[in-house]
Amino acid sequence: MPSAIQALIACALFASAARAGAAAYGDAKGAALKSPEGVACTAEGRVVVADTGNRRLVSFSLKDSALVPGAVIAFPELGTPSRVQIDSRGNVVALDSRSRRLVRVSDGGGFGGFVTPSGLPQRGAALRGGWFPVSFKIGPGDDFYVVDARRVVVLDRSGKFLREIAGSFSDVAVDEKGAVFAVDGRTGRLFAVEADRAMAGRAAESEGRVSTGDRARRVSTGDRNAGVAAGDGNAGVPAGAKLLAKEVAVFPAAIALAPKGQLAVADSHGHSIVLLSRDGTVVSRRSGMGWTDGRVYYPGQLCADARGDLFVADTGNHRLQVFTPQ
Amino acid sequence: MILALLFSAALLPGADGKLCLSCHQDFAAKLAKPFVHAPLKQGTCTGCHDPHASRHGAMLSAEPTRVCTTCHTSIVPAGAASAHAPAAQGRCTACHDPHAADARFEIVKPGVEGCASCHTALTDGWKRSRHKHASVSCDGCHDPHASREAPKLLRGVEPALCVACHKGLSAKHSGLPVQTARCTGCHDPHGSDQPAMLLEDVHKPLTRGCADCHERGSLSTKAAGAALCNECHAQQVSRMLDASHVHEPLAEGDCLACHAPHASRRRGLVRGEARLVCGSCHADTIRRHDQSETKHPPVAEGECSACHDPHSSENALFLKRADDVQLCGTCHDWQKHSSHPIGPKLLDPRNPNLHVDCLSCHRAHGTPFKHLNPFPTTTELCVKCHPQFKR
Repeated sequence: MPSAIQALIACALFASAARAGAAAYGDAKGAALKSPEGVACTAEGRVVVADTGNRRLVSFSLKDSALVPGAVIAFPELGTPSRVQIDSRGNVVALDSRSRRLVRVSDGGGFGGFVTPSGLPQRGAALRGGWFPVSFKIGPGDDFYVVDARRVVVLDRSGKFLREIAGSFSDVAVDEKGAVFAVDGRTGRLFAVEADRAMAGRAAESEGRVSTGDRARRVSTGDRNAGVAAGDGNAGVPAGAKLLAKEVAVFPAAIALAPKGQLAVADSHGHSIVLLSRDGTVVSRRSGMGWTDGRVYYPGQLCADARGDLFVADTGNHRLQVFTPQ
Repeated sequence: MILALLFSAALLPGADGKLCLSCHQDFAAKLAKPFVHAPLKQGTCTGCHDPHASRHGAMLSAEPTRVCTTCHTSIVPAGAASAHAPAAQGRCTACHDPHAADARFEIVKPGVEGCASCHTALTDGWKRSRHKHASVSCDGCHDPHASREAPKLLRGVEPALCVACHKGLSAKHSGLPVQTARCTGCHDPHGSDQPAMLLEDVHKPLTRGCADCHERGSLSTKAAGAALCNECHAQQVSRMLDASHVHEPLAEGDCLACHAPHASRRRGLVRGEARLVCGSCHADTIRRHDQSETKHPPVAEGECSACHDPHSSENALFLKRADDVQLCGTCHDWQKHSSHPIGPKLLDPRNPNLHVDCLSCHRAHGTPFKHLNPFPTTTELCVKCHPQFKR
């Protein structure tokens, strides 16, 4: 089939998808998304996609159930953005998966500086001094919750180290009270960590142990980990765990807060989005593997707005999808 | 009258064995063998056989898998840590002649030859190896029936089993207290082509002793974790980390998640078979393949690195190539060009941001359906893109 006809079909498909509001395939100029791994959204429906394969960020807005592409953000320091967040002031911060730096975007869409951690406890056993962020979220007070190798590091807005939470995680979600939920794709485990902000301090070093200020209650997904709770005898760490059916979360790679106090988990290898209550009970499982609208293929980061619209970086399908509340 | 008949049917003392031999004259040769099963030696053939009628072959007095345990009750003790399948299943004649043999315990094939009947790969490897476990037969370490305390029929747990014979180990290992370590972490107990029966792939520092990595006289290392590996592999590690997708064990500096620090049977010091090493985290993928209707050889054979870079990659899923057609084509060369139209110039009708490639129709790690098809039939697959042919 001649390439010109193919291009026309592609545009028609893209346009129709944009009007339907189910998926977005490219920016305002029609340049296709490529392996987008990250997405961030505000309660009001502003969306920013980390278009990883194209080394840029693309803004969208949700209007009348349609994703309308907006500005494109690209500059050299952005690198290869894999994760993105929007803070309480509307500023965008992205994680460059190559340099492993948190990059601020200025109001004008340019380079706004790096978030450089200070006072970070060094770990001699790790590479690069033990700073290798793989994901992050912005929590209350615009603190950064950075998923590092075998820990979550909490930094204030300026990058100053506040505390850390030990454990191997793939992603975290933080609610308005500072309660942290973490997911580990390798083991299928879902953690609920209740942060005690009055007790800041350094976490215990070994995996599974938590800081004196952070009590971990392990809620597990899948049967890989039957859930001996984290804890080394620290007071207030309850034993036991909650198991979910393996089919629900084969390889949970990303987590986000959802309305109604729920959690949304992107099941990367299971090609689905799982909604759970905060005690780990599965509420629903949405989508399934596929290439058409409404299906996902190796989903990445996800986020939810106040209405409950779930935005998913549908990485394997090179698009952004939005799932409206049922 | 009846009592008289009954008494007349009884054999005279010592006569039962001779009575059987009067017909079964070939047993005379068996009786001449050096090791004769006690019932046969004592002439009590009826210990195992019913002389009148039987529901079982060879006139056995009980099921073949149970007749031995009427006397040998504790061959496989309850709660054994491991049991030899023939013993556990009552297939005693797999190894023993029930009547007589030239070897002790009426073993049909004594020594390694007997074990080789089933464990061919292991014994062939042992025979070919340059450095064998000297003066040790299989039953030197393995109980042929069951082990109460150890896996793999071992007569004891490591390292106590090894230390029972091998003294002065610390002196042979640069003064390190290896007598408390796991010997098979470095040594192949069945034999190897490496000196000291080290596993085939030996970490180079080990050839110089232990001092490169370990503190003198201690199992503690000179640096912790990946920092130790980085002392020699800094360039390699730096190159691996300079990628957009870094495998989590590497990101965490957990080299030993996949690699053995001393020696391994596998190239690159990979800790074990890839299906087990990779599967320790990616069990879902291995399971999906195990349940797959059609097997994909790289997965079946544990060659995950045929498609994936185990350290890092610029491509999603750590694929070695960005172009799926070229990646699959490294093995399936014919399908690169003699196939359904595929390639970067052909858009996927289902998704304008996708091109038609191998993964448009196949799932590399397996599906419940034939040919790695994600749908039950080929028709159901085709009509996803060609809906005009849907019935």
